[in-house]
Amino acid sequence: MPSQPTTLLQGTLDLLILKSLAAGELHGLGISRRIQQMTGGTFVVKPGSLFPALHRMEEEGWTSSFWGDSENNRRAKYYRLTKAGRKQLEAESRRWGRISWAIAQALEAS
Amino acid sequence: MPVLVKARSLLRNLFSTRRVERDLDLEVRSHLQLLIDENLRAGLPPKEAERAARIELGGPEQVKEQVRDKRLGHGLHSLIADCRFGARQLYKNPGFTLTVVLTLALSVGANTAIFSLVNALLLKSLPYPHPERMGTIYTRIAGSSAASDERHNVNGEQWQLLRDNVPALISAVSGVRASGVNLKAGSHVDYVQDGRVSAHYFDVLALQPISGRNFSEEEDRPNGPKAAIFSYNLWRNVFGADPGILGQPILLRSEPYTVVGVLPEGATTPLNADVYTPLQPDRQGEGRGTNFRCIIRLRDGATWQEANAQINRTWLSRTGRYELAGNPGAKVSYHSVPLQKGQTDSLRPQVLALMLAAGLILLIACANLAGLTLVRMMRRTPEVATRLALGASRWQVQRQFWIENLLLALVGGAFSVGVGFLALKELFLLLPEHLLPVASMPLDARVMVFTLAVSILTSVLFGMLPALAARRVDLRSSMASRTVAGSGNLRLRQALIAGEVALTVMLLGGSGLLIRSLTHLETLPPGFNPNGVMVAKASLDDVRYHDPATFQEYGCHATDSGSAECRRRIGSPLRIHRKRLGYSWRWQGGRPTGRSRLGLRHPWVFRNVADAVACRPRLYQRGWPQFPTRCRGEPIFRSKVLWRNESCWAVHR
Repeated sequence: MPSQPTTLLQGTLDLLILKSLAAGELHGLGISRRIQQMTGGTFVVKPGSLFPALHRMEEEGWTSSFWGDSENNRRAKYYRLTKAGRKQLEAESRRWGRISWAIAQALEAS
Repeated sequence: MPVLVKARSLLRNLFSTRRVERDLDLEVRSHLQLLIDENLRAGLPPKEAERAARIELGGPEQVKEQVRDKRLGHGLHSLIADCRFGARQLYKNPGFTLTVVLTLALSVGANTAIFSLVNALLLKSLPYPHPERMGTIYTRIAGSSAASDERHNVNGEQWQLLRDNVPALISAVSGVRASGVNLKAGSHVDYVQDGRVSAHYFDVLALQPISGRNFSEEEDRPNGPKAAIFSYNLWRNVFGADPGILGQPILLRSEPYTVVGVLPEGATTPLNADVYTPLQPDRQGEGRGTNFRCIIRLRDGATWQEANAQINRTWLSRTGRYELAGNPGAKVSYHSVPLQKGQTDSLRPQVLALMLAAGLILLIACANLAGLTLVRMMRRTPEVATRLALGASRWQVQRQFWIENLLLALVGGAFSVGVGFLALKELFLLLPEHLLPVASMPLDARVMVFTLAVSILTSVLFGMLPALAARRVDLRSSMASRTVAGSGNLRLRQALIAGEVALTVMLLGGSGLLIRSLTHLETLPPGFNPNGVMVAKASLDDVRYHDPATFQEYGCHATDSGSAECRRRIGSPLRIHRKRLGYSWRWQGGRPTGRSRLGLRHPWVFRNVADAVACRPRLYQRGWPQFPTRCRGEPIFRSKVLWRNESCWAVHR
């Protein structure tokens, strides 16, 4: 049973987008659905947050984009990770690992 | 290379706006289409599928706006858009724009011109190496009725003591000002300004001749060899930059001089002369009085304290203490003052008063413009209300106004530089030559920065009130009534007008007094009958005229040729009363009379002048000494003092 959608934590959107693109190139809707699927429906990314983030990340040089055809022959803009994007994904993952570990520690403390 | 990628994105966002926008539009549309497809596949009917997709997307325009907000260079982009809109607004209101720009150009231009004066006189450092080590000597008189602290000229005794007993300084003296003389070189004759300077004068200024040398000690001794140093301009303009000029003989005042040096291009001295000759100062002749102007330079390793102590020690032991003549018991001391201050001290109050007046003009302009923009702002209230209703933030509306003001300020500032330049040129032409101790007043970087700062400050001042008023626009009432003639704005405008009137009255009062004094001076009875009197000026500072007979002959010759010239030009001869031909000259470096303390100068006048202008002295009852009777080989105009013009003034007022 899918869990209730939760608002995105500050700073996690970038990580989720990078992670969703790690397996291969995707268009905007594809990224959105992939995140939904990866998080078991916990996070639903609205276009209003997705597109600004995508464009910002492209400007940072983490992703690059191109126009391609979707599965049912629609023109769509696809995104893929660049080398810098992969590095960023690693760095963000490590950072997130530390944060979640720390939070877990804090919650376990009595 | 993240920086490169970012720079490329920024450039693309700024300059390929249309492509970036089209791309974004296509992307959002395709996203919507994909959503619809997805919903159709899920089995929704077409209408429902599209509705659900639109709900999930949340409005294409909003999504695009969110992307735009996050774009690199978004702030700059919207700033450019605001500027463009502001420029269009100003272009569409040419009357308003023209008024504001013209007001700014005039008021800021006046400030630019006056500030250039302040800059050239008080701020710019002197064009010599290490100007902070250059100075002049002030005399401080305390403990008497005539207490003062100012630059005094020095006499021969002071000069010799200063030269010989103050090792901390390189010192030099010059004549008080340059004087016009006739220069003759070969067949060429020119009227030039001659500056008389002591040896080491150019060492104090740290000027080295580009060819030749400075004056030697030998040349500076009384009756020493007569040498001359040319300024670069004289050398180039009159002698065609002739490299063989050194050692050439020239005639100055019909006396032979040898050219020993040429000063470098652009070199200026406080005397601002064309040719320099040795002053040859001593305690006799002009050295008996305070007729020398002193400049000093601190030697390496010495301090101003040491120098001051040495000056005081040597000068206080003098025999002739002229400072004590009018005030016995006064305490006299000497101290050195930076040359810049010494040169410009007497002009400082006038210049600062001018700057203040210019500042007041600027304030008046500000008040005027504030009133104007306030009215314009009120007329634009519906526009503001509409923008606010459409979702613009108050900050965006404010920014729009400020940008328009800034644009006006920049355009006005640019024009004001032109106005300032013209005003300065006129001002320089109007002022008597050599009144200012500087040769030029350039519009340099400092003046430009000042103009820019003043323009922007003005725009802030006149834009502040309207912008504050715009903050109070009430959306509901202004949309309903389409005006905001609130009582608050009315009071504001009244306050502005009151301030403006007060400032104007003040300035008008000041300038009125000035004009009144001027007319008073112009219409003051001169004390003589000016009808039928003609004046001609000629330099008689020449050895040929030291002999009275030649002098007289010269006068007759001059009137004859003048009469002939008159006949040639206007067809009728000029009838000149030979007996009423008179000569006068200004005693160079005259000083205030001890008796009247009015600060009048003594012009020395021959009796014939008084006859010519039908002016009779009433205080001097002993009659006129005869002219020219006693002349013991001295120049007559030094020894034959016949009558003081000053008394004439006293009588006829």
